[in-house]
Amino acid sequence: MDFDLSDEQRQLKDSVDRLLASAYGELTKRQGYMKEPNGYSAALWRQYAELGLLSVPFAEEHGGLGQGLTETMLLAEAFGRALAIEPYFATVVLGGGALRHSGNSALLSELVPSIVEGKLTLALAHQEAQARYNLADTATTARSDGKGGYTLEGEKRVALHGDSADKLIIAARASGGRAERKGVGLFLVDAKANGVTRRGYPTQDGMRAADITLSGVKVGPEAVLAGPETGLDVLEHTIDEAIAALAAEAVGAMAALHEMTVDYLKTRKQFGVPIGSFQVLQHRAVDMYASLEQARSMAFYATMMAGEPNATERRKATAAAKVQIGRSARHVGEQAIQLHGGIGMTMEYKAGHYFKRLTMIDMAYGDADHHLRELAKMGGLS
Amino acid sequence: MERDEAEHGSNEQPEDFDWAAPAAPSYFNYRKTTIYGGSNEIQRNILAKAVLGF
Repeated sequence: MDFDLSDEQRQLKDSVDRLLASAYGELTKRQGYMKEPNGYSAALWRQYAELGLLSVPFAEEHGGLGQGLTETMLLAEAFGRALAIEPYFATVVLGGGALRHSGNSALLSELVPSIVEGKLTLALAHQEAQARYNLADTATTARSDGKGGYTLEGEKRVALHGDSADKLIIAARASGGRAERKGVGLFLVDAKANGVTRRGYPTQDGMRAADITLSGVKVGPEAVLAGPETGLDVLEHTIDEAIAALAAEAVGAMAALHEMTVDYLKTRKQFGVPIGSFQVLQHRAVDMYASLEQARSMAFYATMMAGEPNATERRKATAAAKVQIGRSARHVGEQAIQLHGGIGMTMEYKAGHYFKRLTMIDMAYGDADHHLRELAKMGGLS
Repeated sequence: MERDEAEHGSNEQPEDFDWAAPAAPSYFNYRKTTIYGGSNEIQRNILAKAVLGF
């Protein structure tokens, strides 16, 4: 297997690493971006657009760069390393993923050019309070008007960047029981449409999310992203790709956190020597390294399998990766704080912020325990 | 394995359970691999120096 990057991939990685190193150099910059109206840096979002980052996964016929999941992985790792809070994941990976997998070329042609220019942000609102991690569990209803349009009613929870997104992608049920696989469609709704109420709030990791209430929201036939026959398949594939991207982001965050911990051990003195001269602390740093490398391997695996058309094989790989990512993230995060001592807990120091992001990544779309159960149900990795 | 046999204190002979017999000896035997080529702790010392630069 060839894990070397192509020249183009290396250039992409270098340019985004350079941009983020200057934009996110000190933690105070991140805290400044969080205070902007949308909860992230509008200027940086424009720079992402200028660098072409927002066009990476979209097909050339729709105005994208037509690149693969490896490029998304490289970007996600860089975002993780920088602890970036711009809605790349929400708009390009989740929203863009749902668009791409729907194969709805009319909507792709209409929306992708604006996404690429940084003028349109998306939020995927599929989660509900009772659903736990079950993607099929959808109580929000989509009532057909008999002419291809629908009326949406229901409550959505924790839509990432849902408070600032221009358009929302809503999962709603047109038929069947609450957790049935069949009958869930994906609908594109303008965030300012009649009947849409959004309650935004900050999340633990410094990003934003929103709970969304839909009350008699009308959706025309042209805004049906994926009908009730295919909606759940589209959603599942989107989330599997999203988990691969999150895995890469976690690897970036863990790598940075590990580096800063090792640096701290080499600098901090006690008893007249750097504490990194103590074998017991060196061994802990090595165990963190082993956790990080296991996570990195599984993140590669998730990315390589995210395009797998056989949904069961893809889901197995995704679940296995999420298990390792969750375990490694907790181990690396907890050890980093322990090895830093009190400074690791302060708001002014980055270690705790990495740990918050890593914990949110573990919880997103099923934590390690959930995915271990799912993997066992599917018979494990063969 | 039938449920009855799994219960604590059961005297029933396990049936169709061939993999179980060698499991414990195999486990005890493979304890040695944590020492091969330098114990796990020696490997950690090596990584600490060679990779992490302590």
